[in-house]
This record gives sequence, structure tokens and C-alpha cells, in this order.
Amino acid sequence: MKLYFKTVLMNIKSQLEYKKAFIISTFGSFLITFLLIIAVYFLFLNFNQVGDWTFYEVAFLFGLSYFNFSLAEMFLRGLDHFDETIRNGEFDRLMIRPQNLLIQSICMEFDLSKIGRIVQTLIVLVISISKINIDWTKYKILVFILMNIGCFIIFFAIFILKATFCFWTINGLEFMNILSEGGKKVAQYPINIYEKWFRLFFTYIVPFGIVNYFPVMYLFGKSNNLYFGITPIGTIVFFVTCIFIWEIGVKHYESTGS
Amino acid sequence: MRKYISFFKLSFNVALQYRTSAIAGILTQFFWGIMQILIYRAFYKNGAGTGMVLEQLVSYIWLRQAFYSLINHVTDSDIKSSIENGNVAFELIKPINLYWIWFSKTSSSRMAACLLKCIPVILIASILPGNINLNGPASLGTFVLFAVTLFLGMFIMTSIINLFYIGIFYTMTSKGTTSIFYALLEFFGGGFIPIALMPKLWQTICYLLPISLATDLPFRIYTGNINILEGLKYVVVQFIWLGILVVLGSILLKKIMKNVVIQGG
Repeated sequence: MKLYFKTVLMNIKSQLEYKKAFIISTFGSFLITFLLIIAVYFLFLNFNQVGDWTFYEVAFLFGLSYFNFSLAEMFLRGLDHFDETIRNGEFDRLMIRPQNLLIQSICMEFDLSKIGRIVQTLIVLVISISKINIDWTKYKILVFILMNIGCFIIFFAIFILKATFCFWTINGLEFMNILSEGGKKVAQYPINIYEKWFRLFFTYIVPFGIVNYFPVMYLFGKSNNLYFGITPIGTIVFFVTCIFIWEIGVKHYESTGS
Repeated sequence: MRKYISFFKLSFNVALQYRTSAIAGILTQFFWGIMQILIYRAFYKNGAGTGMVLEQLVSYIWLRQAFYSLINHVTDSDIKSSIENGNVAFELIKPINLYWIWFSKTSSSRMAACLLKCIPVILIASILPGNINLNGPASLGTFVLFAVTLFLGMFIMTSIINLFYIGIFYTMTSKGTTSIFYALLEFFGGGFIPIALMPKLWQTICYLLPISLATDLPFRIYTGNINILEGLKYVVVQFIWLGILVVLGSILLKKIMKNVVIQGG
């Protein structure tokens, strides 16, 4: 852990050396999510609501999903770009070091410019919370924190899965974006607006439903079921499964040579 | 002309090599298509919105997915890095026009990628059950007009991307500007939500910009959201914009070439 923060600090320093490039890319990452939420707003101007969900409720889920995704993108950049680590043989170098491979791979990169997106999505999250009537109790605050942690864990696990995929092939990685980019987009709406088969996949296989629909039902007072609030804990199962697959992948790894 | 055609062939063949990527791309495109349709379907359940009926929207989404590689905003990382690291100097020695090298490279790799992807996406999307399938064109005329506007649209997008490459000569880096370029192109091209579903004022802005001529117009013609007569007018508009963009790009590039400094050797 100490090692991780040290490499992060070094990464930040090196990125701040190029001020102009840093400001431009931060602005770029801000702009994308900003225009995305504007697009969602346009949809609500046209349709008023989706199911029985209003704009601010969806904006809350948008904020939740994109905020945690951006956090994952910033901190776990090394996993996101793992194909490069494999391609240039860097992974062999990691293997001879007496440190956990996963942690080392994460340390490879850190993308500070994603801070633009993080700030933007945080603003969306704060505004939407202030516009929705939530009777905050201690338990509800806990639920909110659990939702965020759970959401981050899912993206973390997906990034691990994406990196593991590189052990077999570095072609066609675009496919894994279905889970990362796609999941982020799926989770910006309450899962119950989708068709049943789609909903089941994103609840039981990739468990966005348990950080999105169930806890939010409780949080917004649409349901009084206390257990709905703690469903995000279930994401640990998904995370452990992905770690397990990673371990299999490491055993399977054959160097690209060079 | 022959020189540019051989550049075209070369990039075309290179792009055809990436079959695994193409399959992955097709699957990804499918997922995006279905996800978007499911989201819009949920919106339409509350009553129709203005601008487009659901059947049109479903076909619109599938076509956009099928021809995404033709009209997307993705820039070529080889060309970008060649400007950044100075390798572009090698192209400048050759007795050919840099603008048209880029133009043929970009458009050919687009066509190759599209050739691999569009047919399977269209075939499968047409036979999907449950009202999420791609409908056929209203008439032969619409189809021909669709094909014409799609091709012109691709060239318009290529010339916009060329302007972006030229911009790199000024900024010296494409990191960051690429994502700004992407965000604006997607938004004003109707990539985040279809332009027809936007508020009136924003629709007007989007239609005044040339981007929508590539990313929106052909598909609205196919789905019947624009009738043939109006569509024919837009073909003229496409030609005018294409002319403006190409001339603008060529002039800017020539101007830069006079001042370009090749460092080191």
C-alpha cells in the first residue's frame, strides 16, 4: 500500500511537469461527462420521465456510476492499459520482483487528468442529492457509502477481468469494453427499466443491480425493505471471482519474448 | 491520382488484416445497439416523444452501429504521432500532397473497417425478434439517396479529421485535444442522443454544423425521417460543405508548410 502511494505521487509529479497538456486533458475529460449529462437532460425535457424515475433520480445514478468509474480509471489506469504492459514485455520485469503482481500492475500508471471527470460527476451527484427528497438517517448514509464502495469494487473487478483477458490475446480487447464502458452506461439508469434478460445479466452475472436498483429503492424511500440497503456487500463475491480468474491467467501467461 | 489510390489500397489491406478485432468490434457494436434501444424503449413507454417515432429510432440506431466505422470521430494514432515526433517530414519529401495522403489513408481504412463490420451487423439486426429489428428502406430511391449521402458524409468527416491533424501542428500535442474533439463531435453529431430528440434550438445548431451531415443525415433519410425531396437538397449542402472543408484544410496546411521547421536529423 505504501508502495502504491509512492508510485502515485511520482506519477502525479511527472504529469504536472507538462502544465498546458495537463490542463487541456483535464478540461477534455470534464467536457465529455458534462455533455453526457446534458444529453440525458435533453431526453427528460422530451419525455419527462422514464418508468417512474425523474431526471434527478437518474442523474443521481449517473453520478454514482460515472464518479466511481472515473475514480477507477484514475487509480487503476495500469490495469486499463494492461495490454501495453504485456505487449512491450514489461510484465516479465514485474514477475521477477518480490511483490504482488496485481498491485504492481496497478502501479504502472496513474492518470491525474481524470480529475476533471471526477469533479464533474461529483457535482452532478451533489446537485441531484440536493434536489431529491431523502430522509437522511444514519443507516441511509451508510447505504450511500456502501453503494459507492460497491460500485467502485465492480469497476475494479471488471478492470482486473479486462487485464486478465490480455494474457490470452491482446487483439479484440474492445470486446471487454462492453463490461467497463457498457456497464458504466447501463448503470446510469435504474436496472428495472430494461428487459428481463438484460436485467438478470446485470444483476446476477455482472452485479450492477445490487449497487444501483435495490439500494436506491431504499434510499429514495420507494421501498422500506432494510435489506435492500446492504445488497452492495454482494459485490465482494464478484470481486473474489475476478481475482481468482486473474490468478488462473497469471499461470497461463507466456511471455511475448523480446 | 494513381499515387493516392495506391495509398488507399495499402491502408485498406492493412485494415482488413485485423479480423479478430473486427469480430470483437461487431459484438461490441451489437451490445451498444441493443442497450441503447432498450433505454429508448423505456423512455417511449411513457408516451411518444417529439422528433422521431420508435421504429425509426430503432433503425436509426442500428444503422449508426453498422456504419459507425465509416462516420466516427476516431483519429489515426499513426498520423497523430507522425506529426508529434516529426516523422511527417518523410512524407513531405515525397512529391505528393500531404493533404491527400491523409485523406486517402483515413477514408480507406474507414471503408475497410466498415466492409468487415457492416454486413454482419445489418444481417443480424434485420432478423432480431421483438420489434428491435432494423427495418428495410421505404423505397429504392431512399436507399440510393442513403448510400450517396453516407459516402459524401464519410468524406466530410474525413476532411473534418484532416483539420484536426492540421491543428496538431499548432498545439504540438494531441493528448487532451483529442478528447475535446471527440466530445464536441459526438455531442453535435448526435452520438450522445439523436439530434431529432434534442430541444429545437439545439437541433438548429446541430444542423447548421457540418458534422450532422455525416453522422445523422444519411440515417434519417433511410428511416424516412427526411423525405426524398428534402434529402436531395441536403446532397447539395453536403457538396458545398465538403468543398469548403477541403479548400480550408488545403490552404491551412500549405500555410503551415511554409513555416514548418524540421528539427534534428
